[in-house]
Amino acid sequence: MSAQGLLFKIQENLGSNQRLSAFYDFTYSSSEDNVEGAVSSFTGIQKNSAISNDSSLHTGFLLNIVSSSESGITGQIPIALQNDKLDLTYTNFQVPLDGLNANNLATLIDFEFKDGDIDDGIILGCLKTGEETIQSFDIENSEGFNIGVTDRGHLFCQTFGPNGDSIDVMYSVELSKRNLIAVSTAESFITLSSFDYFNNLVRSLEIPVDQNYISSNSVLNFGGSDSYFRSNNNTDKTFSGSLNNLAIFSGYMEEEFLKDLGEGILGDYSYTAETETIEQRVTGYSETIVYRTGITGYDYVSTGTLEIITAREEFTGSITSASDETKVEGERYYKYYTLNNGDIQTFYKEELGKLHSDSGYVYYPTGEDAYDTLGLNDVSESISAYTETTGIIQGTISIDLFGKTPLTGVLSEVSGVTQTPLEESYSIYTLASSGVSISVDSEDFKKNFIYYIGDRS
Amino acid sequence: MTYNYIVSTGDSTISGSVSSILNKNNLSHSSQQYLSTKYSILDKNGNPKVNPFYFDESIITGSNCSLLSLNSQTLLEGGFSTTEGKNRIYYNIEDSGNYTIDIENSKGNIIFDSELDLTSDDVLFYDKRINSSPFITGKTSTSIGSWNDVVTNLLYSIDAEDPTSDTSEMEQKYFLFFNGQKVVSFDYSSDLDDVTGIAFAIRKESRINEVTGIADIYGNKFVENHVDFYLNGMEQDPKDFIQTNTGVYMIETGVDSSVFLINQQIETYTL
Repeated sequence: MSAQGLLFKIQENLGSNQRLSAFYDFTYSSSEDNVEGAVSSFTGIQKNSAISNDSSLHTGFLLNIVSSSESGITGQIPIALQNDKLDLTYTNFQVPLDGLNANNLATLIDFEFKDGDIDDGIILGCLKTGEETIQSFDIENSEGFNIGVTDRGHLFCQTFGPNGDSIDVMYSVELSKRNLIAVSTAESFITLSSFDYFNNLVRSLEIPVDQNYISSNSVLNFGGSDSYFRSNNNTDKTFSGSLNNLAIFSGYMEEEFLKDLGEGILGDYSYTAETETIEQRVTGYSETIVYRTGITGYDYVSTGTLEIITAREEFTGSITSASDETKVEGERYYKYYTLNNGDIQTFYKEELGKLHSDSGYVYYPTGEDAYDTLGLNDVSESISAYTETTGIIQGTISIDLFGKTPLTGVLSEVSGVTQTPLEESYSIYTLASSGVSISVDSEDFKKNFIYYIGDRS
Repeated sequence: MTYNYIVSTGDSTISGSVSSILNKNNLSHSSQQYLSTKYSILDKNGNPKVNPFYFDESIITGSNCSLLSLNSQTLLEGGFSTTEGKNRIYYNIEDSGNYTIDIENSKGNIIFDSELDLTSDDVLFYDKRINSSPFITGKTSTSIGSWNDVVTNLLYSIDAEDPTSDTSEMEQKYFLFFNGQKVVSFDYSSDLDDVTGIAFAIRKESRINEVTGIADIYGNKFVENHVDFYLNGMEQDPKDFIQTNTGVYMIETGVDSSVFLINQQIETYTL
């Protein structure tokens, strides 16, 4: 993620990656990508990152991983690049300048110490001193400079100039286990900077130099130097730590600017795509004349009927057959007759004494008693019986009844104007955003030792 | 000596740490220009008091979010009321406070109590702290057990607002100061029985680690510049200690770095 973060910062601040000459995040992918050589000379390498201006340049060399066979070094590569950092106690690292000038470049170095005691050593070493004879005099000369750390844990810069060796120690900065520092070189000075991202601080040391004594280099070494009081061989490992990230830029850069670029190295790049939200907005109003409403007429609707008697009451009746009854002679019964003259339908009845149908209807007295005097016999016969239904009817007519219902409607009188908002859809765009947050694990950037320097008595 | 360090441990990421750590050990500055102010406080002689110290208003943003140490002594912030005069409005510091903050009207000036004599040679550091009112109690008795009563009174006050069961929980959650000195242990102290004064407690911030008893500490990760160091209860200048990484070589203190070359000579005098 650091490559993306750095690229974002470069694009943001410089507009292009033209000044990013090299970047190494020391991520191990496969040993095949980290070997260079042929026949009987193979060397471990770290390729320049694709985000640099020309990744075909500045291929870095793992100086202590060399062998006469490819198989002799492939096993060493993952050890040197364990945990995505270059272990400088395992191998030193060398970057060819390929056209860059040591007195006109800037480097960002993300390094960390190993656990345990901190010994002095070289982080960036390109100082090379020598001697030449000019007009029979032995004259000391030099190129480059060394950036290292003292065993007190302070950064130093070692240079050589007309007055001889010079070491400037950056006493104001206490280093953490992991640190991001910058070295920026110009014609007449080197700026050594340390960045404190917790407190948003840049602490720098400007070391005046004579450009004639620091230019002419062809390589930058990391972990060793050709000229150091403990070693004069750039393959001697002097630094007890590792490189997490390394960026090299062409030309001098201000320390505040380098701090900003450093955020990209330590941070995670994030991108949020543009989002669109559709909202409605009022663009105007349409006007509508409103007329008064009121009663425009009436409607008559049937609400029911009314019955009116038109004639006097008349009796009516009917008979229906009932169970036959048995009557003895002389017993009274009714004989029914029906009347139907069209308008009136009823019945009437005649009360009779029963005479048996077989009697021939001739009777002679048989005694003195009242009954006997009639000559009736003690016989019975079935007669038809009826059930009577009687009633009264009158002549009527039915009249429809109507109710009055007002009809409402729009009158011609104006009562007002209605305004109706006219709306249109529009889009609100949340612009695409991108940035870097320093989400790297902060623990190693913190301090873990407080030393009291007052009187303890 | 009692060594007491309070270190900010920060977050697991740098961005998270930046947003969570509090500004500590800010050196107060003097005003570079004459400021005519309508608000003032009278000194003990009834004259307008000169308060020479100013704070950064982007750090201290209101009342009850600062902690001041004046010449190593921690001061108590009080509230204030004002009395309006014809020409000026005069502060009156309340709650037994040594100073007060009036963001709206004092233009970054720290308003000190009338009784406090100040010169520009005094050293004043201020920390930002989470906004909370201090719990204050006075100690007027010097009888045996009177310090215990003070701690108990504070515990009752705290418990009423922030349920706290006992002094050991209070010690975990609160800093305690007595007459400007930080009290490391809340346990019974016969020494403090004999003293009268003002005690106050303020809530501890989150993400801190407090280490007591040793001059040098190592192993606990902390954010540089966010360390308070109290020596015998008095806050020390950050220049009095180094914040670095373990593994570095230190020059031992107390060893004479001078080498005396003595050439013994004998001279013979004729008396």
